Amino acid sequence: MALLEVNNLSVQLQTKTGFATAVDRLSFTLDTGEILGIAGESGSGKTMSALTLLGLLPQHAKVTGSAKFDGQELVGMTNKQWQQIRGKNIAMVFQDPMTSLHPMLSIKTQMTEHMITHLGITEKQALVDAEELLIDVRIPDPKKALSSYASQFSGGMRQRICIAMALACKPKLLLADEPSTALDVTVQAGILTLLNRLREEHHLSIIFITHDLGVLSSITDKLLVLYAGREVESGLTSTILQHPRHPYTQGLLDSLPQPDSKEKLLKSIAGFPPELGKQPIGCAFAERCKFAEPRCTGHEVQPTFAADDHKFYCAVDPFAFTESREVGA
Amino acid sequence: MNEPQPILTLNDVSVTYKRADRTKLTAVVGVDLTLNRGEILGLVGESGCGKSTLGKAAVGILPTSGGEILFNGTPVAPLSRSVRSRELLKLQLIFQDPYSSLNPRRKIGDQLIDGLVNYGVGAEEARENSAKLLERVGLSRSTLTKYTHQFSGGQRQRIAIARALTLQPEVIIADEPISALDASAQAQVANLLVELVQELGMSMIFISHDLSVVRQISDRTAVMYLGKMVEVANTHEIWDDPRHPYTKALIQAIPKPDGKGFLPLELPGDVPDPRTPPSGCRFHTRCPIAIAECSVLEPQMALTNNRLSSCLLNNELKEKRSENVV
Ligand SMILES: Nc1ncnc2c1ncn2[C@@H]1O[C@H](COP(=O)(O)OP(=O)(O)OP(=O)(O)O)[C@@H](O)[C@H]1O
Ligand SMILES: Nc1ncnc2c1ncn2[C@@H]1O[C@H](COP(=O)(O)OP(=O)(O)OP(=O)(O)O)[C@@H](O)[C@H]1O
Ligand code: SF4
Ligand code: SF4
Ligand SMILES: [Mg+2]
Ligand SMILES: [Mg+2]
Repeated sequence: MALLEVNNLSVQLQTKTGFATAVDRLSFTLDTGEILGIAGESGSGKTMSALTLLGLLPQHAKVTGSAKFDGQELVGMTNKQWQQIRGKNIAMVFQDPMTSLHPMLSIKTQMTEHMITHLGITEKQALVDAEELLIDVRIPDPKKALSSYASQFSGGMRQRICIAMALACKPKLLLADEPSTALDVTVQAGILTLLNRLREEHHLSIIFITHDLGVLSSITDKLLVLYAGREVESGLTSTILQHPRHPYTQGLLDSLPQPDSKEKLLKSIAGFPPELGKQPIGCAFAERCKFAEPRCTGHEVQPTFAADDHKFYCAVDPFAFTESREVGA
Repeated sequence: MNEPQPILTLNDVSVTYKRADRTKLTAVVGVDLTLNRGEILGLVGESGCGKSTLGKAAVGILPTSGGEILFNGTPVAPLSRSVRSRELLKLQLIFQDPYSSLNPRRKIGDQLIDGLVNYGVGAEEARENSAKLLERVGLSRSTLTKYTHQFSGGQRQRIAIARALTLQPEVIIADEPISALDASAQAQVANLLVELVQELGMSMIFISHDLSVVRQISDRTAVMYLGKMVEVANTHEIWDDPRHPYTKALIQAIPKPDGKGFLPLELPGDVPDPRTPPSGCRFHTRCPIAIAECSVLEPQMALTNNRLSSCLLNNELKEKRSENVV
């Protein structure tokens, strides 16, 4: 049994004009020690998918489908049940570390309170554990760090402290929502190395959300590419980045800077994704896709399996016979 | 190639912030930099190294504490808090955070038109110009009557660009114009800037901490570390053969989207506190090849084999032949 099994999970959010589908029938699984990447442009539903797994959706959101964590159904759980899971079995790291760090409380208070309530350990033990966690995330002088406040750390250190806090109750699943997007490449490299080590040493499972395909390439085992709330392609990271089959995935890869290009202009996908609640029936990418045909819209696009573990949703499949991509120098 | 013509020149520029607690922080230290006509110059470096500070000083909205800045031969300096001399209007900054530079409570059209009307353009003409600019940056005319919250991050960034263009600048300093955007919006906005520079004959300093986009669009690249310039060169030279150890570390830290699953190389340690910068070479606390002298001697920007960098190891090797350059 996989650690996490998500089936036909949908999320509807309340908007001024009624309910709108932000996450549309997602299905995926995640094993222990595995890292799944979720890619997609802004507004494609990446964060909403993660928040569903923590029971933290905006008010009045409707969730349908199923998400089983360690065999337990998460959809429809009560607040009380969520409190048993949230932070303890499933933890999250957000893009902006200041959303999870309190500016007026010391790092010690924030870390240990959490551990004392969830793990039922003594304050003394919690302090010892907190110090070890900070060492784990490579914070120099952890004793001093514990008595400091968030504002006294750099962005990269704050994010590492957030990761330490998220790991405090030894979760099995970590949801990392753009944890390194706001950081520099040098600091980001440190965070990626850290997460990879946690997976190897502690068999932590991670869902890593970002639109940065370079980051996804370096750390994830498999990928789920979203567009307008729907899956467009999924499979092993290496397969998807080297043999993308969906035109949107291909377009995303093409829009990355090309190391050997003499051309100043980047390739880009013209246009914008559909607004929330205005996704068409059929392929949501059709308006921007240069391969679009009448058969792409008006009815649901069925999935095609390129291999057992490589699936995509495109009626035309223009890249069926293309050679493997050569990317990166 | 034609002889490069400087349009914006920074000579030994320093910028010091005086904090409320009276401590001083010199965020930019003795920087020399030249932007040539028609050129895109990339400015990269870690968070907090002084890129935005340099950009703000270069357009004259932040006072310098030393050195001089010349735009078309005219000294750039703030006249007062809110007034900039007429010549300086041709020098525009696109702010790092479009959320803070656009007013959420005013219609986008009014914000664009103000810039023109304040400088003597008639209201009707201003409106027409603004509509054209919005179309030029890929937005519809109806944007004029909307508010910023009705737009995505990428669209807001386009609005900020349109606003910077209202007074037909010759030089644009774009401070991280694409960092907050996703890959496809990044490409759209970067392309827009490149096209505008080419079509309107502008010059641009493009500030970013992402070297891979800078590599694609800029002619030359300048690398900063903790307030100082450490390397300046043609972009392809910097990329193919970085001379400063920090530039090398930056390039190696970029994760590659090749599906091969290699982790990028980390640069250990954190950026030091700029109020108490390390002695000698500011990079010595993190430099993988530092030697004992590095914590004592302060390297200067110098030419070695026609390449400008600031590292004792580069400079000493070629000490005899090297010449200090401005
Ligand atoms: N509180 C909310 N109420 C209603 N709609 C919302 C709310 N929060 C987000 N949305 C909408 O839900 C959709 C999915 O948003 P989500 O935050 O999951 O996107 P994302 O893929 O994480 O994007 P980003 O890359 O910008 O973080 C978007 O259209 C967004 O505008
Ligand atoms: N108004 C201010 N008052 C005092 N210090 C400031 C002020 N603005 C910036 N600083 C400090 O000056 C230094 C340089 O900041 P700056 O914003 O120029 O960096 P940056 O390179 O643009 O960073 P980023 O990539 O994060 O935008 C930092 O240490 C910063 O904390
Ligand atoms: S289904 Fe049609 S519109 Fe959609 S990606 Fe495939 S070719 Fe393009
Ligand atoms: S001067 Fe020394 S510490 Fe500085 S970059 Fe060169 S080798 Fe490294
Ligand atoms: Mg998000
Ligand atoms: Mg900045």
